[in-house]
Amino acid sequence: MSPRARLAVPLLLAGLLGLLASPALASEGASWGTRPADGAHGSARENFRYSAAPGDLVTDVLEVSNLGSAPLSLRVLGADGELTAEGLVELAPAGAAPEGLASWLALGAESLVLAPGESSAITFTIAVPADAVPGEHAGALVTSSLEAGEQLTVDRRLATSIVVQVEEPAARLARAPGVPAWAWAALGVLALGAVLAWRPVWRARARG
Amino acid sequence: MRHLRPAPRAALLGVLALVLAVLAPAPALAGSRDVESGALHWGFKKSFRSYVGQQTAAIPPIGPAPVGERITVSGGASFDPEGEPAWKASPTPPEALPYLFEVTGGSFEDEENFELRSQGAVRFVFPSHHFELTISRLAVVVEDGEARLEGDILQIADEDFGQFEEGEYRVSGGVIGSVGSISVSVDGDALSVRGSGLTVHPEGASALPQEAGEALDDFSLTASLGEELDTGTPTPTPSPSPETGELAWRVQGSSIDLGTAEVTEEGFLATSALPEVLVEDSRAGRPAWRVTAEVTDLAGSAGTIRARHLGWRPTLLGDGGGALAGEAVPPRLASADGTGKGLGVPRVLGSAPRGHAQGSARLGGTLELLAPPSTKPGEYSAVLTITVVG
Repeated sequence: MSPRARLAVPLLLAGLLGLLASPALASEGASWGTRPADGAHGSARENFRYSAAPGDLVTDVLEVSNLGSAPLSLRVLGADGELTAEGLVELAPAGAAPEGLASWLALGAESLVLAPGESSAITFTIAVPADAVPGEHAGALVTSSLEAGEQLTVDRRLATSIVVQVEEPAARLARAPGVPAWAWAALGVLALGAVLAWRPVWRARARG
Repeated sequence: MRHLRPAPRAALLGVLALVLAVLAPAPALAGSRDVESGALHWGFKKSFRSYVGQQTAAIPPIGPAPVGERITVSGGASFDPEGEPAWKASPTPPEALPYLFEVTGGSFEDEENFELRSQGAVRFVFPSHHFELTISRLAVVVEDGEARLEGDILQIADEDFGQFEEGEYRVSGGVIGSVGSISVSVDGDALSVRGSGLTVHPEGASALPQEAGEALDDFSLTASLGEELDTGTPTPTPSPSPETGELAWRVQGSSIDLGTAEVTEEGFLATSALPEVLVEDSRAGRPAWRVTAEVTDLAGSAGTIRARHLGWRPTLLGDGGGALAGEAVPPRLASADGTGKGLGVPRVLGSAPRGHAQGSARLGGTLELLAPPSTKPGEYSAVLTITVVG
């Protein structure tokens, strides 16, 4: 027998740390699902992905279904995150104050109660700040079920990721619907040509 | 071959076996119940333990393997300090002892139909007889009262010796032993099973040093059963169609009881099964998802236990949904280098890559608390946040 193993026996008698004994797993499993609602932003979407310009407002809907056999009480909240190489969003630690994308979110409801089998829709709006830095901004819309337990309470959170690609204002112009980029370029050349053509006329008029 | 780490603390773990209080009233038996946690006691074959553990028949010039490297346990298996040693010696060397395998899950329908899975591996190494044998992932399967012991076997013979030719012999999830008779008793949530009259099954014999029909040790197991699954419960489970396009999940339980921590020479130690997390992703394109968890500091009337003292060993409870289990995070006693945060920062319980298989992924594991010896006895509580992101 190793010296360590021998040591363990007398120490075992030395005392016990009383962690509270509660009825194990008192409640049955909460079960729910979410999906981005079909609509203006598309159908059968995997999660929330947008292209937006600084100052834009994006409104969308998350559908939530209670798949369990008991009423389900959920809290709805936003979370900040970072986009990983695999295309997943890595969320900030639970309870972190909203700083990035989460601070742009306005929720139609911050809690909901669903009967077994019931579905509900949560409308939310993302207000992209006018000074938002172009690039990817990631986070998630989180539904959370937390029932206070005695020892280790489990906070169950189902997060639907959100990624907002904030565009450069110029890039946005070029992507105006129905106008291809070459058309804008041609327009620019024409405008420049017009200015150059009129310059002698303006000068002549100025000289009077 | 997979490298199996020796477990120096194995003997210790046996002493620390925790009683996880399951106080819920027993529901009447009708539907299927989940097996939540437990232990499988089995010594494989007493005479084989004696043969490998003592190596009195070792052949020069290789000679016997060093004591402590002849029989090793890992990954949820430990030596059973209450088991019968294979030979008499004082003090009893751990290598004489049978094994304890951690039960990680399973399902129980009735006394004649149930299945329990365990984790952990035991490895027998006999260099001068040119073999090493690893037995792992044992499962007890009972169908219509007929019991069998299943598991993985890997034998590597580095030279011809006896009946074995040089080579690798492998059985994956096959029948190791047929069980002559079993006795099963259910008392509320407590299941106890004894199996006797075990003999080597022909499938197991293909990779074991034993012949088919040779006797193996009896086994016993104890496990705690979860609440009866209501057959009317709609679960986000196997429905290939219709495609709902949802990311859905279920967490079995809203709180975890760590029981009472035991004192060890390293500190206070407690373990508990994690609630089962089931993820069903039917979104088009099967994008990636990931389940992470993190814990707050444990607050109590007598002080605080830092979150880094909690760690875990995630396991996959099924092979559905193309999921992968996250990495084990050991509980940290001290954090001098500032890196040992344990579960104090989000850790991955399991994940599935883009294009993963259809079906339900089932994740579970063991939560471990190792608090410093200076911790004051008392009641502590915390919040464990489990998040699935997709």
